[in-house]
Amino acid sequence: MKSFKYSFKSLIMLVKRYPVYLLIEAVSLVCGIVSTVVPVYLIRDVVNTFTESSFQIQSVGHFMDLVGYKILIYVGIELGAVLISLLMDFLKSYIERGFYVYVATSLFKKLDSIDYEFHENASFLDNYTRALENGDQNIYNAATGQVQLIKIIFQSASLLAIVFTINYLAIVYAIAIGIIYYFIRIRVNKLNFEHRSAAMPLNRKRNYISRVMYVKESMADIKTTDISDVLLENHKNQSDELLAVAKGYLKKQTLFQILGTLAMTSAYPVIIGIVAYFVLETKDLGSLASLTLAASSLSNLISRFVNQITTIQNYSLEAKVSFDLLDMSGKIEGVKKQEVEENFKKLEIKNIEFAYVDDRKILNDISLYINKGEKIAIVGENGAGKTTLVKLLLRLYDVNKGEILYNDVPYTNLTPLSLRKKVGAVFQQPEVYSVTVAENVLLRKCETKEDEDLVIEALKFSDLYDYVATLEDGIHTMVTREFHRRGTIFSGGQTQKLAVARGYAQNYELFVLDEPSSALDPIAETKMYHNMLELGRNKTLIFISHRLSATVNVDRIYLFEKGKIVEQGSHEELMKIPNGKYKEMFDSQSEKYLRGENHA
Amino acid sequence: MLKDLMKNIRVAKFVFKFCPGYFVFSLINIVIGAFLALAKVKLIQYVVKLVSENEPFNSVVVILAIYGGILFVGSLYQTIYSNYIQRVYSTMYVNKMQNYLLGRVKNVDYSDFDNPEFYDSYSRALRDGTWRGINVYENFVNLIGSLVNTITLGTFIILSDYMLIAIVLISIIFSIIVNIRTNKLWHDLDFKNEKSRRMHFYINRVFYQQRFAAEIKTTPISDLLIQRYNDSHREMYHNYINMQGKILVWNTFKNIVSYIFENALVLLYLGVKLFIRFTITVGDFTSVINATNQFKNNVLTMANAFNTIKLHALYIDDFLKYVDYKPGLETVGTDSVKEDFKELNIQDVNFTYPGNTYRSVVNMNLKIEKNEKLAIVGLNGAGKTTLIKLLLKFYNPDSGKILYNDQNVRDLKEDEIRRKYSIVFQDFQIYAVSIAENILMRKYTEDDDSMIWKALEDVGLASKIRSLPNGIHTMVTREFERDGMVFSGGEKQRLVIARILVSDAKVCILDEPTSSLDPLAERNINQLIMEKSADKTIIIIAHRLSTVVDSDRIILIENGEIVESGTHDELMNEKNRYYKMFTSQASLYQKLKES
Repeated sequence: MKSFKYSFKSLIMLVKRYPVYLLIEAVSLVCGIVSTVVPVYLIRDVVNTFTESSFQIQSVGHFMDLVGYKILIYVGIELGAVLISLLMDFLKSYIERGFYVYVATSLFKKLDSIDYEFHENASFLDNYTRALENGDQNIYNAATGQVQLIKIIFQSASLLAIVFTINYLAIVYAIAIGIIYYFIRIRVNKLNFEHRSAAMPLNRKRNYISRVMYVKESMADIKTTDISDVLLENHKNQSDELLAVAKGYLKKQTLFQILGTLAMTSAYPVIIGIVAYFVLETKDLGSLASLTLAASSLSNLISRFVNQITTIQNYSLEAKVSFDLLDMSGKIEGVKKQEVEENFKKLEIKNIEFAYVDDRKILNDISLYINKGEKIAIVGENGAGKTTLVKLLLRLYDVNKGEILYNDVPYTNLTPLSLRKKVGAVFQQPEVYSVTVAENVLLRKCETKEDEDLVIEALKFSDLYDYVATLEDGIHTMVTREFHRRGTIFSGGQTQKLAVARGYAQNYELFVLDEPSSALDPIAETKMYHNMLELGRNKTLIFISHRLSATVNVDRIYLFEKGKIVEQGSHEELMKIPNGKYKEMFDSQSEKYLRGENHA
Repeated sequence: MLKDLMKNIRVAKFVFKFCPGYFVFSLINIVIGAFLALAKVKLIQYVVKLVSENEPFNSVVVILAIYGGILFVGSLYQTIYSNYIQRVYSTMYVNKMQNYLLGRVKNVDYSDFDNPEFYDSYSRALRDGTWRGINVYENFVNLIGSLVNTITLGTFIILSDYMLIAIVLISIIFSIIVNIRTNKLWHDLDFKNEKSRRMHFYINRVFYQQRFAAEIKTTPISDLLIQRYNDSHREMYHNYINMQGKILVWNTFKNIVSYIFENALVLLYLGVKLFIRFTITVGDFTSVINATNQFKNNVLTMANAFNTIKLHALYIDDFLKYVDYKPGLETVGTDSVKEDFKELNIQDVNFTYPGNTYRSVVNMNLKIEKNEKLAIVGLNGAGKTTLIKLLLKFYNPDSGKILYNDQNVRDLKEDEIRRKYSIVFQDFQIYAVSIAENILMRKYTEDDDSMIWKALEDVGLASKIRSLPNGIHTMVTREFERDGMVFSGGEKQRLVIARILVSDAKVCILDEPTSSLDPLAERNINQLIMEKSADKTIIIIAHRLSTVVDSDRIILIENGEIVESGTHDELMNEKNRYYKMFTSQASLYQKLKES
């Protein structure tokens, strides 16, 4: 019963948006009743007229007067009801599509109020995926399913009313059967649900294996090693388990279904029998004839009723996923506070500590600062917490202890949206989107001449313009081949350059670059750093890397190790530290280059 | 239509193969269905007749009990069939079909994966082909079932009066024509909306996949994408409403015709026979109306089933293409590798990727001796990785030859020649199998234990793995197990290098093997590789020239050609491209000249 809460919520959401829906369904309901009831009355009328007055009819004309025109009228009414129903369905299709767009857009926009930490949570992602993929249909179907149920109830009630006027015992029997059948179905649904839950992890694992086996990236390994044997065997094991689980549940389900069958199959003959018994006394043949029609419609309706409840339950459970999402609110995202100051002066990180949900501290008592126009580098081995710091700088997470201050205002007092207009990052594996090159740089539509000039300037900054200029549509070329046969595909290195251009165009006050050159060849890497240091003279930059390229030229270096800053200072200062870690790292990287220097 | 039918049949054959005995159960179901349909109609006839002739109630009870018994037994079978038999067989089918399709992946030519059309079709085949067969089969069963019912009921009706069939058939034919029309409208709509649908799926993916999350939250890209979504939906919406309007018109005609013929005319006709001619009884009247109804439903089901055959056929092409696939490159080699590795000889090799206009490898000549440590350097896109792919026989050269010892690689069996190398690719993959299996890249046996632990010691992962409860049998990635092991970027790279250490292949190819490692780790691993490969031939591709400085020989590839070759000192003295690259990288470690 609890699941009806969500189907009801869905209905409210639908009606709020499209109040006319209720009117349409009311009309549809009336038509439904008419088309259920009319055939029954028709048969009864014809058969009764026959038993009462058949010997009097001699001509076709007389037949038409007595019975024929009545038949035509009945059929006409039924046809009318059906046609109006069709028209109502057509009107509903307007509503249906509009509603889908409304729900989908709401789900997309909802992301603005969901904290980043949920994006790293597997079960949230599962739910969000489910909501995005089918949320619109599920909510719509849950809503309309409720209305369908009401229609079925009314149609059944009208039939029952007819049967009741014939014989009340039959009703009692029909209702009793209906109740038994209902309880059996509830049990079956529960089993179904348990089955799905048990199968889900097995399915996920099997889907992973099959995805890995057919995807392009695995081909080299599959052809050069025997890993596919291992994968195929695992696949088969999962499949066998799935089959065993299925058999277990299906056996139980079938047993219950058999009970249900027993109940349902007895309905028709018993009802006919009851009515036949009474008709033998009353000679109301018409009732018997019409009952044969009513009874099969009725048993049909009973199973539709029970099935509809199941359907609603299913859609409600799915709709719940969407509603839970729509009801989420963020602690960081969407919380309006102060806007950020126009002019950036400095950023300070004071004694911050941070751990993800599972306890292990990533950052422990970190303090650093950067003033406008400075370039600093954060270096350290993988897993030392550097990328986590980037996320904190963009306020995707809040620190556990300490604070981060933008122009002396703590992050927690700033609206995330306004902060992120000033502080931006190139993440480790930047993404391209299936929009044009210009849109990929600007992250909005490229409409004016100023827009185009900015795009070109940004691409020149990141050394990507020469390539883009050779493309057929220049900066308006579509990226990726998702929607366009001749869309351009960027290599890893070009994508990194694109991300840098993006940062330039967004005109961030503070720009964080996380491993910006990992996919670039040596010449390109050198060019990029020189560009940034020279052309970006007025920009405030933070470089994050596990390599020590260009740290020589920045104002200040922070060396991270296991979440702490172990050394800080300029390159010269750090090189002077005896047995210093930075010195060791720098020497191990540069010795091969600089020894060449010494020889030459 | 015939072609579509053949395609469906080919797919349905797989059901016979993977689900032995299913067809027998289905046939029984069909027979029972027809029997029950007829029994119901007969029942009505008898009961109404008995009552109208004032027979004692007992005879009615007997008829009802017999019918009840038939109905129960028949429904019992149908319940078991649809709840258990069907579902078990369909699970079985999906299991076996998926395994079958995946087992054939190995045979696909590597070069075909570069072709986006092939790749799309191949992906569709694997996704769609897993389950479609069972639907095709069940559609056939429905078709046969409704055909049998139609014949059964039709016979019943004809025995009563053949005129009825004629009246009903006119309307049924009209209904079928309308159905075909409306189905075509749906299909055309699908086709028109394909682009909008792709946009919808794409945007969905960007919003829910974890990899885009940080950018979606920190940049305005989400607004742009939502705008795109709304734009594409507007288009889809218009197409949809348009189509629904047309369907409304067609359905209106269909219903009008149907009601005139099947309802009004049938009733009037029967009524005349009943009232005026006395040629039928009340029982006949009632039962024939019932039968006509069921008849109509079955004919429509049949028509639908034919339509569904057409629909399935649209999607089956990709599946059949994959099932019929014959590798082009792969079956060329039939010889075995005769001797252990002595040398690789690349002679006048030229190669262009299919579909490209420029050559990726140009007139290449290169000899690699046993135990040599060779480094290949060059800018991105120069042709370094292509050369490796040619050595691994992922492609055959367009001209020239590659000789392994004195055998032409073109003639050698693919599986064998590839096993002669152990490789660390630049974009290596870690699999959700155990740590041991990730290193061995094959099934584990107990004899492998000491080898694996030695390798783990060498790459510096031993103590971490020893602390895990399942040791080397711990599952990698947390994809399915809470206590799976998640490795950091650097740890993954070490794991992958362990693969080389346990392999007994004599030639090792390393493509950027230390790119994810920090400077100290990089130095250590490079040293390790050099140490452990005294008796192996190493080919290493690297961007960071510090890695290659100690190689026996360095070759620099530019635009597919070897333009410089020699030791580090020799190349530096030439003061050419290599020199430029090297000093450019070195400059990063020096202060920017003040300008």
